[in-house]
This record gives sequence, structure tokens and C-alpha cells, in this order.
Amino acid sequence: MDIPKVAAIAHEHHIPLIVDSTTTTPYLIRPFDLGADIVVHSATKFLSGHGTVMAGLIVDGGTFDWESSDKFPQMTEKYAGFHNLSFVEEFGPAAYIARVRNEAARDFGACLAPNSSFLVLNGTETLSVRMDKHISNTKKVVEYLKNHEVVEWVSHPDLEDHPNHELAKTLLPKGSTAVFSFGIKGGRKIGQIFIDRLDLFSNLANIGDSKSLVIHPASTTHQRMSVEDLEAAGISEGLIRLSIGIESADDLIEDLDKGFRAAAKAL
Amino acid sequence: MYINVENKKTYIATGSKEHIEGSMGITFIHGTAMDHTVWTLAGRHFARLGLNILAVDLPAHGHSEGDLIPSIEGMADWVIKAMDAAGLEKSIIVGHSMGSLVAFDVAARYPDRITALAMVGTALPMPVGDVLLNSAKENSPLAKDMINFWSHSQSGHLGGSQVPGTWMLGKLNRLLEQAGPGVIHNDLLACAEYSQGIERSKNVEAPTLLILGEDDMMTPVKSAKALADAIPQSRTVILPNCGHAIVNEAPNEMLDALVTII
Repeated sequence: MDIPKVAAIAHEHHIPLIVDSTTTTPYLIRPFDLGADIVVHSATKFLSGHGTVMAGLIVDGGTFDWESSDKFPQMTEKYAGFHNLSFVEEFGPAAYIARVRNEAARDFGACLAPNSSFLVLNGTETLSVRMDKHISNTKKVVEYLKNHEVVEWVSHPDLEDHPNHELAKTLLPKGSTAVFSFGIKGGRKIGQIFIDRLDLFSNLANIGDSKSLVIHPASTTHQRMSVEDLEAAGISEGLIRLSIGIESADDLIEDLDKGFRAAAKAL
Repeated sequence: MYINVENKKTYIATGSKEHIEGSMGITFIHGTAMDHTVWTLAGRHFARLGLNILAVDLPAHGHSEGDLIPSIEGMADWVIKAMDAAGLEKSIIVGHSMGSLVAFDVAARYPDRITALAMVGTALPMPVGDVLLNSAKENSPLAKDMINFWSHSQSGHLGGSQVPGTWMLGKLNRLLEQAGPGVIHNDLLACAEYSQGIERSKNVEAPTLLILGEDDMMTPVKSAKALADAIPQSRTVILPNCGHAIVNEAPNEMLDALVTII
């Protein structure tokens, strides 16, 4: 997403821009510097990095001018539920996050367990090292996939035919993502054979683990959907999503190769 | 809410409570380039004890209109006008950093209006280094960085916060960014040029509490000693593991200390 451009449009209409930066993490991009007002992360993914914890973050940049907008009375008007508290008046730049803390955490009890906090903090200590490895591994896997005879297409911003290739070079100079998809020839049945044959890649719906993950939506998460519904949702029958981990890239490619050989036999 | 002071729209926070006629007032004065939001915890606490809260945004700060006031004395005169506009005949007065000098000056020159004085993160004199003053004069981001860095203790820099989920340095940085051009320089210069303090100390009739941060690099504890000695009825509370941004770093301990002056 072109964050500066979208931020300008949002701010022109007095709307804050919220960016989900889960797959990029603060290591690859800093959305606040580009105009975002609020950034959210699933810490279950790259931040914790090991698929061992469920956690999430809402980060308020404290930059959005809630008072200039007439669209957010819950921020600007007195709230009887909190003794006529106006969050903007009482908390200034921390108004939004104060409301989130007071309402979401207090009223609904969303409180991270101490061990979960430890796992996120512990994982974050190695974020930069892991992200570099995620990205360098991904480059090798994308290179391998783009010329494979059983692969119909690869969608990754590193590739010149990707619609956001130039944008990614500008906004994400250290690398764009380790989560991407490709299409395998032969559709739903072949896709299932492919992922069933993989050993090093775990067949999981998660992303951002230090271990490489793979999912074939047409035979797993979206198996009940018809071909038409899948297409409408932008998911082809042969779509395979990879989340590249930090193992040896050679081992990953060898594992994929094994899957493709099994797929090729069934084609 | 807004009140009118010298025909200027002036913001005051009241702890989300209406003033009660006849109740004791407590006036809060923020520090350099800050606003009323630094007093949220204390303001709401005392409002619920039935006190009339007057946490002002000084002119050209926060939500208040008006021109910057270039001297501590000028700010003190303005605070009296704000108390008049809010209907506070007498008040406890609390100030942080620059606001502590303003509160002190009010207590020294308008003793009949002040029943107790609390100076948070204070020193007298309150010199400001040329590097910081010059950066502020140029509206350089370095000035904000220096203030933010020196305002927090070592533990503050490590990320702890008594308000869960709040990044203290980030919040202070946003407040400094929101200040208009020249605000930081105006306020720092007013602090540096306030030289009448020690002589005026003897005029402070109100019981006075100094709340200091043990690790304060902006107004070190030792720099407040002469002031504490010169004010007739003064008491000092030193908060451990706390820097200059006491309103940020130790709001609960600050409140515990403030409660003792009521």
C-alpha cells in the first residue's frame, strides 16, 4: 500500500490511517514516518517469531487530530461511562490509546498473560536477525519458483511483474515480505498432493514463524468454497501460500523440489 | 472547558467535574511547552474529592489562544486573572518545572490568594544551557530531543510506565511537537531569566511542598536546596528512580505527596 498517498487522502477527509504492519514488522517499515496514525500488529507472527503465543498490538502514534474531525464523538465528547471523561481533553496525544486501554482492556478483560508477554519480548530481541534471514531466504525461494515448470505464477513484490514492485523498492528497501503465494499447475488436487509431500514446511494457517509454513487454501481453510467463490475471493484452486522461515534456503528448496516432483507425477 | 481570560479563549481542565461553589480550588500550571494533560491523574483525583480544579493551558499553549508571555512574573499575573475568571478566590497552587516557578511567583506576590504551594521538579535559579536555548530558538527538533532525553531517568528511558500501555518519551515528544514555533524557547528563556526567586521566598506564606526526582538532570535535587531553605514553611519529598518528568514518571507518588498538602 502506498502509505503516504493513502495517508494524505485519509487526512484530507479527517480520518486516521490505520496500518496493519504484521508482515513487515517495524524492522522493514516504519509506517508512522510515512503518515500512518495507528499501527497494528499480530505479535503471534514475526514479532514473537516462533508460533508459540497469541498476542496483538495497537500502537497509537499520537498524531491524529481527533478534534478537527466531526466523525469521532467517542473521542471528543464527554463519555458518561467514564464520569463524563473526554478522552481528547484529558489525554491529548494519548487520547486514542487511553480509550483503547480503558474500554477494551478494562471492559472486556483483554489482558496478556505474563508468559505470553515474555515470549513476545524474547522474540523481539532477535527480530532484526530473523527478518534479514526471512528476506534473504525468500529471495532465493522466489528465484527458484519463478522458473519452475510446475509453477504457473509467483506473486511477490520483488518480481518486476508485480503491480507494487516499484512501490516496494521505495517503501521497503530492506525487503518486502516473506509471506507470498504462487500458483501450482493442476489446481486443487495437485495442490493438495504438493503440500502433503512437504516435510520441512509445516502445513499451517499461521505466518511469520521461524519455521517455514505452507498452506493450500483450496484444500484446507477454504475447501468448502466452490471454484466460482474461490475465484471471487481472489483464491485460485492452485494457490499455495508460503511463509518462509529462517532455515537453510537450500533445505527449503530441496523440500519444495520434493513436493513439485510428486505434483509433476500426478499431473 | 473554555473560559475567557483577557478576552482570549482559554482552556482549563476541571477533572471532568463542574466547579462547586464554595469548594477549595486547586490550580495546576504545566511546564515548558506542555499543557493541561500532564495533570490528568491528579486533576481527576482531586475533583472527585470535591475540589475545584483549574488546570490551565497557558496562553499560546495547548488549546488556549493568546500570545506567549515572556516572563515568569507575567505568567503569574495571568494565572491570577485565570483564577478570577474561573471564580477561584483562593486556591492551592501546583506547578511543574516552569510551572513551579509560576506557582511560586504567584504564592510570593499574591500570598492572600494561595493556601498551599507545591513545586514539582523545581530549582531556583533554573538555568538553561546555551545549546538547548539556541536549538529551541531555531525551532530545531534537537531541542525536543534534548528535553525528552534529560527529562527522564535511566529507568524511564528503559520503557517502564505507571500508565499501562503508554510510552512516556513518545507522549512527551508528541506534546513538544504540538507546541507552536517559539513556544519552547519562550518558556525556557523565561525560566533562565527568572532571577528574583530567592529574595521573594520570604514572602511565601503558604505551606510549601517541593516534590523532586532523585535522578532529575534538568533541575537536580541539589539545585532546589537553597529554595527549600529560603521558603519559611517548606517540606521536600524526593522520589527515587525518577527524573524531571515527574508528572510522567511517578504520577502516583506525586499524587501521594500532593494529597498531604490538602
